[in-house]
Amino acid sequence: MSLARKLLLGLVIACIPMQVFAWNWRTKISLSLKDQPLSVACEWMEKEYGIHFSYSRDVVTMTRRVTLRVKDVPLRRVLDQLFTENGIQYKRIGDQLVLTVKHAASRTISGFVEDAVTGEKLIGATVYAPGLHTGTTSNQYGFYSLTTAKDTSSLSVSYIGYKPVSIPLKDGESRRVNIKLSPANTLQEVEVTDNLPKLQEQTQMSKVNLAVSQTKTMPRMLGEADVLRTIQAMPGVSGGMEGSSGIHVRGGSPDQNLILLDGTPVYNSTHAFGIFSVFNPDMVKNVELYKGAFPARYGGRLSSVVDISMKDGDMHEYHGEVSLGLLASKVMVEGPIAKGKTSFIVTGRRTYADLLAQQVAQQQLNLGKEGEFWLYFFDANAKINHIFSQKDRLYFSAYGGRDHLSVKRDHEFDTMNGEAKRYHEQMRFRLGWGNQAYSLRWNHIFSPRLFSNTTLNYSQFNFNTDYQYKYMALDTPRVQESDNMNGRYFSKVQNAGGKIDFDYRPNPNHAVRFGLQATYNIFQPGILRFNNISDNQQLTDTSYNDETSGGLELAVYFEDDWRIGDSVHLNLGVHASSFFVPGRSYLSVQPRLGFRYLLPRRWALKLSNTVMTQYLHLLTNSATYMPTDLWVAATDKVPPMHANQVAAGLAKTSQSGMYEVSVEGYYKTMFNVIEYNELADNFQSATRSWEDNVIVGRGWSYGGEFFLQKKKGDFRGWIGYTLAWSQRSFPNVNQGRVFPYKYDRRHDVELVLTQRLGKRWELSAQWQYASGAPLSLPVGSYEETGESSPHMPPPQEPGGEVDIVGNRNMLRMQDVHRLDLGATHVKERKKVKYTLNISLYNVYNQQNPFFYYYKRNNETRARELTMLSILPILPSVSYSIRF
Amino acid sequence: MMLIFSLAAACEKQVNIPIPYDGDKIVVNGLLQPDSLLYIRITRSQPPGASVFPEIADAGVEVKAGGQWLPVQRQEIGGKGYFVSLAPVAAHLSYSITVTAPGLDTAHAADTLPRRPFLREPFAQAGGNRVKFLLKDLPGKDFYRFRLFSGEKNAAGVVVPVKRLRYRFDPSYNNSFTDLITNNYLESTLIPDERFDGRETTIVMQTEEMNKAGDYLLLEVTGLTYDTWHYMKTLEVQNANEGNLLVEQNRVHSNVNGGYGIFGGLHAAYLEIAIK
Repeated sequence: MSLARKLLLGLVIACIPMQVFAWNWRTKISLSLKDQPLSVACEWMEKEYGIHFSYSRDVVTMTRRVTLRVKDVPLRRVLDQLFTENGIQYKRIGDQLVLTVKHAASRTISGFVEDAVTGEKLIGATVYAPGLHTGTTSNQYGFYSLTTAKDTSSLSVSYIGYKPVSIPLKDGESRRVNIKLSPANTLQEVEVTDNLPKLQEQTQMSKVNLAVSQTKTMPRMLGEADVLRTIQAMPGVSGGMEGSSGIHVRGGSPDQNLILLDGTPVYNSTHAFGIFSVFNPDMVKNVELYKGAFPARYGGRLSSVVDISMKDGDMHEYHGEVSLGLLASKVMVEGPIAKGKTSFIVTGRRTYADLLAQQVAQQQLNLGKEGEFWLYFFDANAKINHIFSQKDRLYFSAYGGRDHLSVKRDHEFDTMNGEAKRYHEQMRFRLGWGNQAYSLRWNHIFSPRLFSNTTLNYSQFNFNTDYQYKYMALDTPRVQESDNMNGRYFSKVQNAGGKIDFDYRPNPNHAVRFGLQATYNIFQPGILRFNNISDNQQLTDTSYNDETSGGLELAVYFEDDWRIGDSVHLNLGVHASSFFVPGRSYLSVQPRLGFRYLLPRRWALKLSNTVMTQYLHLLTNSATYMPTDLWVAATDKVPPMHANQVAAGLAKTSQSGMYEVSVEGYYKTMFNVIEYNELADNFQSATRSWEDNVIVGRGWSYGGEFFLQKKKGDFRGWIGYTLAWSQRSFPNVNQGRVFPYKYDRRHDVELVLTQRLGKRWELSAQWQYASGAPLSLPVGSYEETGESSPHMPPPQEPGGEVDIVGNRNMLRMQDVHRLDLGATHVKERKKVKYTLNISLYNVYNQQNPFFYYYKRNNETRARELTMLSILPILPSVSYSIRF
Repeated sequence: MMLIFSLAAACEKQVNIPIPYDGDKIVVNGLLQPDSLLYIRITRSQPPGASVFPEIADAGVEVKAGGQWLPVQRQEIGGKGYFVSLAPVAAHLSYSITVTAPGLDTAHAADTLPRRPFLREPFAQAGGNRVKFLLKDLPGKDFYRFRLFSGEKNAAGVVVPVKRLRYRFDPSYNNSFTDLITNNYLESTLIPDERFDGRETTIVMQTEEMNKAGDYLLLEVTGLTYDTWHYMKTLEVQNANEGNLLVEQNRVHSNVNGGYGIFGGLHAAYLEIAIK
């Protein structure tokens, strides 16, 4: 070999490593990335430093976003920061860096998140592994389970209203870690809800989490804070009639709401014909409203789920609270039965207008000295929870509430219509309705990844009215007259059930829930009993429609919240149920699908499609939900209701968690919705022929909702806007044409603002505007008759007219709007907290339409279309002391 | 309770909402009572809210009894115009009516006559406020209207009604539980025979005023056909619910095709009660 050749060969050999191995582990790297996918980092290093990367896109997730700024840092350290913390391992093979998934051993951290002071379990607390950017939230019982890399060194736990904590994890073992969070020192009551992960981190859509503290600081009507009234201020929820606390969700009727109190359905959620909700806010820990995208674990109603959790009671100290309001007073006591093991909480509420009106009523109704007059509603809650072991907890919850009117007359009379006649009259009339709900729940932790809850529950709603009447003529023996009669009408619906729910977290990519439910319903739709003895002769001793029927509903469900990739999540679920009544059965398979895709700038695109079935019908011919309405089971002629809802939306929570914004559109179709055509007469029964008075039709609702909320800071609040259409169609109504549903409102704007002033004051304002509701008015009138001959004596009051009822809901009431203001002052002294709330309802005294009717002008005898408005400006004050 | 408070604070104002009106229609009001002449009012329906209804004096009214023409003649009674039959209604026939008027749709209606209620053993004592009697119901669906009149004897010695009296019924027949506390007395009661079908029942009515010796009462119990019953019941409910914001408006039944009103049968039975 010539010298020249040797030199050339040496140069080539010397150059090869310089070219092929142009980098080593100590190569200084400068890199600046802000929220970029890992793949961008690789492309940058390949371009700038000639470092080639090899990986399979199917195996290694390179879409994970990173932020990294380094200057002249050794390559190995840069790679560690980029890959190791993201579960990717790298290996040099030749001139390439081969990337593979790091199969690091994992471990599961599980336990409960609770209030450090009271031991109250916290629902929806975020438990997060910062290094891996993965986390979970505590479930309805405060339980969490996070399977993470074995070398995870710490967990970050946060919850609004509490100080966030970082929990160090010393070894690499699976373990149970119960996390205690201390309340932040704020003016507000501890906020025990509303801290779900950011909207873009939830596949769930069409859901509202309600802060109970928000309910308490909002303006109040007659001094009563109301959970359902706060829900009404959310987009997609309409309140129905002015002043009512009923809820109509996305065009659904009130009977289509599944309202759960500690997992037990409550049939009638309102007191006083719908004006106040039955849920005492002092007892409520957490409220979740699902307007659509129903998780598979819920079933049995078409339009919404309101899942209310009651407080557990303080495990460590005794507390009490007494509240005085314009309308009602409340009392609450909580504390440990065995410190750290068993706690209880009891609340009670009663209105007292009757106590003030007792004497007036006695005189006005001529009740006599022994007479009585009672008119009130009350409710009471009790809950006990006991920790048996690290793995087992037991909860017993009870609710009872009732609206009650009773009048008792016991009086001797000397005259009758101005003429001498002595007689003794005893009369007692009672009218009342109420709910009872009980649940016994057992939490058991099978393993750090598998949590179960077993529930036994019972619920009932009953309406009862009865009278006793005794009459005795005292001018005996000249006049011998006596009556002794009594009668009773009642209706009742009951259900008793059991269910077992499992919560399984195999790894951070899957959150699985599955379970079984069985519910037995008992219906007594209107039973009448009478007994009448007149002049010692038995005239009546009988009962009508004394029938009880039952129906068994069985259901199974499964759902998996599946993280397919960093940007793609899927919620797959199915709820299958069957309903058995004597002689027939129904089966329904209801798919529940949710999808989330993370768009640029951290916006989440969400889609959902859910099917719901309802086996129970409510027979009502009321304009609102009345306690006399009757629940019945579906039949072949009046089949179960079904609904299908699709929804799409965009949602985002800002980086700081300060703002939350969501936009949703939905389309819902409802099948087998009913109209009950029975006359609105006195205390009716659903006899066997009730089906003949029902027409079956369809419903549609669609629209869009916008929600912007500021969640942190001294100034908070939200604005919600709803654009909605809600329609029905029945064969015999409006000639079969589609017509607007009675609470169809095109536009609805809700603005809620709160402002803290210093440490003691918080001001709130709520303004709402809604387009006019549909209205039906007579479209003509004509002369009435009741006589076969004009020679009969005329009635004492002249006869009226017949109004021609035209097409349903073809007119519109005028638009409604209203401003309410509230101010809350809190003073704390020696562990005693004094709270004063002053509210002003309908500040500018807007006369919103409640009802339209033709009123006769007594002077001209002409009938004039008249708009009735209620609830003018109403100031109220309430005061509470908590110790 | 709050409802009561709120309504107490309610405010009303007259409003004007344009309401579509289909135009006038013929209204036929005629109730067929056996052995009595047939009195038919023919009027026009009016826009909503009206309280005066013009009579169609020139209407063409054709009544058929069992397929035979029953002539009618217009008469004015008590300031109102009626088409009155020239022969009394017969219990065993079915009746139909056709009414025409210029510019209006022809109205047609038909009905039969129900059976007469059986009443006996009336009793009312002076100083008391009870009226007691026995009603014998026959098997099958019957509908009744109860009324009570104060009466006086005419020249023929027959007690004729003079004034309507108010009374209240045992709630076991009409579910009117609240009548007892509100001291609510009625001029008429509509009751189907569902609760005493095929039985003889003692019925006690508690009158608003005390019975006086020497007075006469006239009890009227009227059997109604389904159309007449349905009309009266739906009208009663509409009147009772006027201004009631808690219930949906109900439609008043009419058996008049092409128009409104009622052309229905009824059959009243009377009991004279001399108070002793």
